Amino acid sequence: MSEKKFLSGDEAFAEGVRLARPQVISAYPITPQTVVVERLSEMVERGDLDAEYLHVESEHSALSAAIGAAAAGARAFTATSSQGLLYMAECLTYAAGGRFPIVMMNANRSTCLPWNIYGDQRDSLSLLDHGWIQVYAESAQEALDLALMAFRLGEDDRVRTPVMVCLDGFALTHTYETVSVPSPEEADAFLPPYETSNRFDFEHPVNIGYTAGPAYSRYYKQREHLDMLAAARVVDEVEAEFARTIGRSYPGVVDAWHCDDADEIVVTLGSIAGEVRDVAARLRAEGRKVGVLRIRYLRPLPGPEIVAAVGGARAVAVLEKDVSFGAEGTVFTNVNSALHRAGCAVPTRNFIGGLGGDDITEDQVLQIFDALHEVAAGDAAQVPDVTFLNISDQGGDR
Amino acid sequence: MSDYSKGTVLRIPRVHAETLEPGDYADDTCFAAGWLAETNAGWRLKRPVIDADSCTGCLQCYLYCPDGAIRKTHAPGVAVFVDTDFCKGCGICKTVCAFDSIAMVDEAAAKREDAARAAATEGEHA
Repeated sequence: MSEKKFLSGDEAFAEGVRLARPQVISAYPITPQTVVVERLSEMVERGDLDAEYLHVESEHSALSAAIGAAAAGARAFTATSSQGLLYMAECLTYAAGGRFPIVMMNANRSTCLPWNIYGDQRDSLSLLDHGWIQVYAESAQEALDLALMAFRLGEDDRVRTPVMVCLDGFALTHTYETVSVPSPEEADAFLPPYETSNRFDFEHPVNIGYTAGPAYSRYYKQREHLDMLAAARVVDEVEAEFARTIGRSYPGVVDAWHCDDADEIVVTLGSIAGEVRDVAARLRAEGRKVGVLRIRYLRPLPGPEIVAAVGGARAVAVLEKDVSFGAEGTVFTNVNSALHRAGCAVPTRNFIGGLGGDDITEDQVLQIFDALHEVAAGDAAQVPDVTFLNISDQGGDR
Repeated sequence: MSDYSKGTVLRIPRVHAETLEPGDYADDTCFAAGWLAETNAGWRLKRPVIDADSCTGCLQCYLYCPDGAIRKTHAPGVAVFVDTDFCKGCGICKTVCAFDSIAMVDEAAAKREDAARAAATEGEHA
């Protein structure tokens, strides 16, 4: 029987990891992830979680240790954020190319300089290309559930890909809500032990992590890519199984709110989606046909699902907490690509906010919807392609 | 010194690339041990030669070889041999040998000797 607890996003995620029964946890603390690894260490000490807990000397070591554990056939977990994620960045491709289904929680936090420990999404969004599935949680409940689903998804024989679960730093990691925590029996019914042939084995000696030259390398890379694309369908299966065994449903790779008949749609990631829906709900009550699309899984890129949700609108905004300097927001790039590949010409605009933990107010969200309204009305030139929220002088010559 | 780098010893079977489809190997970077796509010893400058008389069969060279290129002979006489298809000549085996049974000889010279021996053997059977 599940029980209700009042937990922060970090604490809820730790509960989900406990229920997933990792065999090896390699831990290095970094704000705002620290509570996750602290809670896990307490659970291991109390005997509530039977895992090898390694307090490693750096994030690079944390992921390296997890890779080693996975190569021995263990279910491995680690967690990080921001500069820590960037420090272990070279290990991301080892885990992904080695096809080790490690689960890593990333607390989305700004990257330096200037030094800033507050939440934005620059860290994980700058590392979309390295072969990890990336999913963004909106609530503590979803975070807990994703901890379990991530292992099931990554370990699926058709996927065999590491999964990064992202929680907005502070906004989600440190805020509290009532969370339903499944019982160990329910969790075990959903997530069986990790079985794999991709591991060292005295009975079946293998060569792991070898070199591949030009004649061979492309096949590995293509398969890595195709298997990640196929993971989108496995997400649906995993969620159906989760609903069956634990009783909560999730909507797949994207979460569409009133997009079917919407003229103006805001696309976003993570916890800000709740606020955007609140504003959208008030606009709907006033008769405005608005919608919200929360992208849950950004890798694999849910191109068809994005196009299906927003392709029929008259103006689309992408609200994100990052910028790829010298270009635009990364989510904006991804959404535009999906639309363009589908031959869809809906006008899109990028709104960059929340950088370094900056607050995104309901008023700013309202302004985004109003800007979309202008674009939809044919006043497209009035709204620049890229807008930084909360700054009066937009500068630049674009 | 005797040279046991080749001879009547156990060889691991090899499957060459042309007989494997990408579907057979590209699903992950984990493959059954002993199945290697191609030989890889072209940069060797020195070759280890094991002296059967002083070798005690302690197997330290076998354990320390970073490429797994030293194999057990599973035969009486000498315990191990060097697989010259994969030995890169790093010399770790010589360094760990406590009985000074391994000598690192010039690869080019050793190759010439091999060729000469092979030609002589062919000549005998001609």
